[in-house]
Amino acid sequence: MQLLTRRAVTAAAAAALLLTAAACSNDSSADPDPDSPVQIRFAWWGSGERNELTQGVIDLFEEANPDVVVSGEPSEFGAHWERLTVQGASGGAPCVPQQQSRYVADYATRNQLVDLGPLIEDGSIDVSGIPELLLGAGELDGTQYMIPYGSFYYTGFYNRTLLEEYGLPEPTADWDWAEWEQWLYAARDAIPADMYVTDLAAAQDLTGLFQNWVVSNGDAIYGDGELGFSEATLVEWYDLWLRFIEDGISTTPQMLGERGLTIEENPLALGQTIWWPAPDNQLSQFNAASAGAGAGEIWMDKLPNGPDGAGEVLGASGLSISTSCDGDAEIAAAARFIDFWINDAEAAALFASNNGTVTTTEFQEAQLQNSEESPYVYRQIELARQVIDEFDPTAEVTPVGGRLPSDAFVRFAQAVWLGEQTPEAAAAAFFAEANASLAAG
Amino acid sequence: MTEVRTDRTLSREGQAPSRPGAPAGEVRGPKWTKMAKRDALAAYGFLGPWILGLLAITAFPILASLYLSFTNYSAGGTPDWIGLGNYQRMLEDPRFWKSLQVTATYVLVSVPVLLGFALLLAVALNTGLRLMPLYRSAYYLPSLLGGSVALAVLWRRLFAQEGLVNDVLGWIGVVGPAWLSDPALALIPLMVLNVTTFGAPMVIFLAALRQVPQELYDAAAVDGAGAPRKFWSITLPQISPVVLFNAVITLIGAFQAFTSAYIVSGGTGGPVDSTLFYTLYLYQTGFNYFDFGYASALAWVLLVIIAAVTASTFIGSRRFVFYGGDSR
Amino acid sequence: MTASATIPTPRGVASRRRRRTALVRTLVRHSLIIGGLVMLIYPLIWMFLSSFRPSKEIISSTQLWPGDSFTTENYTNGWQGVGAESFSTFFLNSFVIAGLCVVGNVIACSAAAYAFAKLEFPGKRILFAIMIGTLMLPYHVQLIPQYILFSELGWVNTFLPLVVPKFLATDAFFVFLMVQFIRGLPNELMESARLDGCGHLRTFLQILVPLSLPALGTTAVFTFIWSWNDFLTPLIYLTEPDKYTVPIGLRLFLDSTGESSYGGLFAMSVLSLIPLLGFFLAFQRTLVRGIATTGLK
Repeated sequence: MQLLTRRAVTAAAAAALLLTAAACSNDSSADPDPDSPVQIRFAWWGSGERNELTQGVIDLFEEANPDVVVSGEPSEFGAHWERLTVQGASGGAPCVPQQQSRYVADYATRNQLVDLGPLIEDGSIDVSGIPELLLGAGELDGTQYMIPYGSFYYTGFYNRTLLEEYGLPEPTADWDWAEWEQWLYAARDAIPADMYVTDLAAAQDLTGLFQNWVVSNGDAIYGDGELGFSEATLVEWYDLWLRFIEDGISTTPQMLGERGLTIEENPLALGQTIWWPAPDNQLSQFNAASAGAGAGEIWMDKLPNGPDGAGEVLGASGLSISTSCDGDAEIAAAARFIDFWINDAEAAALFASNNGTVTTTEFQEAQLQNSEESPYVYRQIELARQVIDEFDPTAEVTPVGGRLPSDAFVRFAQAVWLGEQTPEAAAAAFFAEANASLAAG
Repeated sequence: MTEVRTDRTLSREGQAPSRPGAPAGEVRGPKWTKMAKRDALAAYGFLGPWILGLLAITAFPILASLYLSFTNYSAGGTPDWIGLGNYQRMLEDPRFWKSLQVTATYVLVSVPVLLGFALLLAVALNTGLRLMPLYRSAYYLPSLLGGSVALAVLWRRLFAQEGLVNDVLGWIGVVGPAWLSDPALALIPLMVLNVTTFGAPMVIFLAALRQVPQELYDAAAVDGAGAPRKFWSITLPQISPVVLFNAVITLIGAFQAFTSAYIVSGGTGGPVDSTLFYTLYLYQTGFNYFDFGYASALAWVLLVIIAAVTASTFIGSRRFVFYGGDSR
Repeated sequence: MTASATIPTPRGVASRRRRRTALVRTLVRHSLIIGGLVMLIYPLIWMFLSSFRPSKEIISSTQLWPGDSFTTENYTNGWQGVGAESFSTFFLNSFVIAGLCVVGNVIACSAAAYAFAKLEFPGKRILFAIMIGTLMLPYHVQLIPQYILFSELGWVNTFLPLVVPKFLATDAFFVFLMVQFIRGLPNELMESARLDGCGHLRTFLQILVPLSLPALGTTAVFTFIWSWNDFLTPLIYLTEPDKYTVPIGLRLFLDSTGESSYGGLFAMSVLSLIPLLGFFLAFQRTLVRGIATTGLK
């Protein structure tokens, strides 16, 4: 009996000791020694290679700036936003959170991102190498919240190897939507019965293929506090894809539910389909995946044009400064870090447009001229420049309240494919929900 | 020390507590003996950490969320008082009702099945089989995987159209449907997943079964009772506090289920919201759409529902739960 | 047993028959149990075997057995993690956190449960109701206010927000569990201890704790498992990779925008199960050790 009491006391003491150890071991980061380097936190999303490359850029920066220490906080894409939401809401966000044009408005309008205008004006961040157009992908209502370092837009990926095998022509940059449809039907006739031309998921992305279709036909996805296109347009889209399902062009709704969510599981990368719209910077990853699956080479070209032009809308990933960032030294260090990303040649060469085509024109040239550049990165940059030079794209930030419409778009589309709602009813319900969200935001 | 009287004299009726679920009697009347005072002080001493935790760590978030439920708050702005606005909005929100329906189905179907399996297996394993510890650990394995991403990935494969479940169904001549893509069926894989975690309540049942005094069974055998009689008249009453516990905990857990739906549906609650658990809807509202005021209101409605269900379980248990240790 | 003295029972035959039916019954029971088991843990077996296949094959193949493509590369590569830290860091962090949580819960929750189950004090019913109430609020809504609280305390990026609440019995689940168990214990034991002059602390430590070992063991096991598997709380409080726990490390393997490694995910998930299983096996004997209520002196 005495033993038990003694054991209990020892256990409690050990626990107290462990607890103090755990608490103490983590205090080093809160040390306010004036001579020690300035510490800033940098959070990004990625995995594998991208994490390594990002860390490489951080190392280069620290070499060039020995008075700053950057502590990196990588996570997976979804987890990045979850974390940022909680931390930002309570003032604990990292000094430099990576942002994206689709999400930046949500954080900017909630006072979580610093207005970078003053820092640009006083030269702390030199954006002269980035075209005005691309800067727009980080700007909301005239205020610059994010400095884009990699731009992206949707292109049409296709399996070059299979096209050759089945004797189909490759897509070109000056197709229109009618030619595209013809090509889809021709492809359907040429490929084996157990393959599909494309994947139904292509029809569910509000700012993907659908956006190109809408914008090239003269509308926009977002208007002023509401959707920028009409219900009739949406009904047309639903009818188009219902026809594709019936005619065996796209995969069925049943296959949709089981589809994996990673690039490695994308039917295109597995050789099960031959065409798929995707952000252009994923070309390298698609090829890595298809090589692994033995499915052939993936290439890409522009999406089709409409009566009102190519309808290309650029988005971008970039860096911003969080309002949680405390202290002049820290903010200055953060500014220097951002400036490094977009102006340092070595860093850009290392990162090689891994998260979108590098926005600084000079580095695009450099990467195009680098003979050791991967052919996919080369294609990515080459096509992006072609689009910007010849096809008059816009660059947009998704407005506040834009996430719900994106998610709702998927939901209502599925209801239509599964026959749970008519296209007209689904479109009406979607507009109600989406407009409510955009108006409130 | 006095010898412990064996329990042949204890009967169900004599020992039921006056209030269901409430602690065994309270100090009534003005008689504050010195002993009672010492007891109370000691009690507060033992409760000290809990009270501190309650005030410091639990109370503030809970009260904050109550306050937020009456506001329009979107993280980074200031909360905007709107009274019952969020609650009124709920009444007209189709996704709210849908998520309630999905969660209710999930709870009503999977919890009884889960508890049934747990009790069944616990009784089966409690017969002193030599390999029992091994079986017990093996049955417990699925519960170890908690919010495992890997398991969710495999679960999707299992229920894919070409997956194992449909293969097995094929052996008995049934054409398997597309479980994950059919809104009418998509909840079933999740319910099955919940049931496979019966290992946790099973272990608790086993521990409880171990505490049932063997003499009770021996005495009953002498009286000529067979196995079913022993189960109903001895086992169940003796472990009834634990049955109540497991029931309440499993219910509360099922109402708050989140991770499985989140991962299996990719965070969407799809297809077409057929797997939109209430907590998933709450999560989307707060974390995807930044509508924390509404999310807080949703949370409080869930709390009221769970409280109502729990209270009715406790009240309903009045007739069935027997606390062996409580003496008059 | 019922044999009379005059007629000798053919005991040989009867007992052989009894033995045979008993054997059959045992066999049937074992096979049913094993059958159910196999169905239940099939996904785990699948995961285990898949971890020995190259990543890209995991996606396309439906076969269970790796066969020719057997490889241990997922373990060696997966261990390196995805980024700066390897799984040795993640496992260490998970162990420390889970261990501390177990200690905290066992001590604090048993103390609170003792008070609720065996002591009388004013306000008992209300406090008990409040305790049950705290179980019911969905966690996600407490997340942001709790984060504000801990960040004001400066505890972000430490293990403290994950561990300290356990020492303050905030896991009402275990308080409730132990209350239910302790209530089943006969009062006579504690009363006689009091009569002998033991104070509450001694009664608690020397009588109640040994009697409640099954409940304490259960608390320890579940706390360890839940704390080990917890994803969201570590995600938001542990910002630097050198503090990440295993679940966060596992999630890093799958990225919808970049490369994913199913092989690494499965391999490390299998490894992650081992401490859980080990902890469970180690403590299950405490769970088993019931009390014989007779003969307790």
